[in-house]
Amino acid sequence: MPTLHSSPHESSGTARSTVVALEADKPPVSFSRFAELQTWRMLGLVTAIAVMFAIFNFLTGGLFFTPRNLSNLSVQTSVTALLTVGMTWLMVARQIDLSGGALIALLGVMVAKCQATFGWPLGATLAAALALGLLVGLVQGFIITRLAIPAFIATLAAFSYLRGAAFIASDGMTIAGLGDGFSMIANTNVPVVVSVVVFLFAGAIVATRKVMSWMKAENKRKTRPVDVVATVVFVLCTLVGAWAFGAYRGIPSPVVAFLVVIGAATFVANNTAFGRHIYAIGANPEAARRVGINVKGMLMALFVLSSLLATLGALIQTSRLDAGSPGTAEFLALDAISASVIGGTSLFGGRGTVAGSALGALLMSTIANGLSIMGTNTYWQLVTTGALLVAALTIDRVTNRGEQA
Amino acid sequence: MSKNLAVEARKLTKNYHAIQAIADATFNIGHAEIVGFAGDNGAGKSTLMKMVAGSVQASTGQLFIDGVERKVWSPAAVRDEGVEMVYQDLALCDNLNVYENIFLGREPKLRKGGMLVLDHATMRKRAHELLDRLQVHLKSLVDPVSCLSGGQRQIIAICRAIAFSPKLVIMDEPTAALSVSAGRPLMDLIRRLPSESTAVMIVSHRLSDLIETSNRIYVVGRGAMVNELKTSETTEHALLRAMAGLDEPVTGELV
Repeated sequence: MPTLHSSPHESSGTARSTVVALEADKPPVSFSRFAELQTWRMLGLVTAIAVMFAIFNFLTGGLFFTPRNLSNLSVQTSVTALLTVGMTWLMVARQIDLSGGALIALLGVMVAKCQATFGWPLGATLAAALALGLLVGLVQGFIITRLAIPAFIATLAAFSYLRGAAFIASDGMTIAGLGDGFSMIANTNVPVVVSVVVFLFAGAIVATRKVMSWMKAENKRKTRPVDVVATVVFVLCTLVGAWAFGAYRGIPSPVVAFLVVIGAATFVANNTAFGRHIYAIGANPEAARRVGINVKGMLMALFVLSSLLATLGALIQTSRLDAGSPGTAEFLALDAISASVIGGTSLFGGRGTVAGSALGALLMSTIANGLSIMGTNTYWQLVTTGALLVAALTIDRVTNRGEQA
Repeated sequence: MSKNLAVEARKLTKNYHAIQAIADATFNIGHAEIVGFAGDNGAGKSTLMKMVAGSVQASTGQLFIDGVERKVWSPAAVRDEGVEMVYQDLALCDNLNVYENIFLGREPKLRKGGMLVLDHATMRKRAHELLDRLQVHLKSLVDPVSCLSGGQRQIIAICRAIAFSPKLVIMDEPTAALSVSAGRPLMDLIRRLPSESTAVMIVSHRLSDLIETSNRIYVVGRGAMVNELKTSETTEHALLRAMAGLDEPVTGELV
């Protein structure tokens, strides 16, 4: 590593020789060792999921790794994964939102009443749900950024008053029978042929682009092992997806929603000023303010985004169940936090990716789904989630020595 | 107010409740001039700089940048005025890479499919050019700055300040994390800035840095400007005496 400090041998040299190390004439390397480490960690998470798949498939006598169960698993993951996207960005920016599950419960009850009790048209119900989600996000953002109430306290309060409002609005009852139109939201599938083509096309595009990049003369010696492994793993995942959704009904609409959201969020995080500023705020909010980033405005936007993603999650959940229940999604916000941490998001801000968090959500759903098929007592899911969190943080500590988890 | 001045401060004060951090500070910095600010710890130098940089708002008084009185006190507005500051704590984001830190808040963008996306290639190229200007070679521009040494981090903060040809660069202890020899290219750069139409306001505990680079030096004591010295007519010893309050003010109107 070049250094700005002169070595004893250089002390009598020119200014240039004191500053420039021996590698001065080499161009800067084009890959980031740090980014590579992050990718290796994510590949480790994929490996953990694959191992869980194998274990549960063995323990359930082949019932786990079937197209039907993989399709169910992907749908079960989708609501948590949607909430996890908002949670990851908030945690990266040193914030948190404990109210996502309660908001889903309130919105579920509200849309169920609009549809089943008041008989509103579908469009009006969706508009009302979006308006309520937006309002909750704005109120949270206002309380946290303008009244300077810590996010933990403000959203803990919302966790309580939103859940309470859900029980009051429904008299503590589950409201069912939302109608065919509403139930189509989460119970529609992309046609089988299209689903297979989409997955195979995605795998082929990524593989072709990568291979062409590696074949370029100037890159021939620069191909990084992690890049090759990640590409192979991605292509394998697309093949599994094509097989599972090709053999069982096509891609379910909730999965389309979370894949689109995760893809868009990953793009925004890496390629837009908004995305990079989230990470800047998480690392050093004062530095972000000094360079002119509107920190309060950004945080307000993140809380609104988090609430809107919870709204989308609520619509999917209510549509799937064809009912709005005030007691639903009780631990969902905690699940989203757990998934984010398992996926590599730092509790202290500045680090985390939505793709990693989505993998964390998938790992948690895999364990819940596998235990459920085995007929294990559901309380074991809580125990395994806790153990998983401790394991994830321990691995994080070991691989991130010197940094905060 | 004069158009010939990059900065003109008139009776600036800063109060934190009952405590007066800055009292009636009046000073100016010409275009193409390097002006040093010396003083003991707690004298108010950093507060003064943060006021010019817009991160601290003056309680009373007037501040003119390029002859225009400042009405909006915010870091974003001040950067638009062409004023940049290298903070003593560097104000870097450890998780962002070298070029992201240099262009933070002013990232070049491309329009792709109706969307504004970051122009990573341009940022990388310009970061390379800026580092070349400072005669610094880094092994990687894409690793986070947490991987860099203290001196290298200081250079990144300086690159951020000079990246957009500012009218004024404020430097708070720019050589604090550098060895004397490693600070030499930086001193050379500071001396070159006036020829590129950039004025410099510099605070340093290394009095030799102030004497080596600046045209004039203001001495700050207990939140007030207590002396003004022409660098060509002073020595480190004389500067120390002025800081200790052992000399009569050279310019009577300052106190």
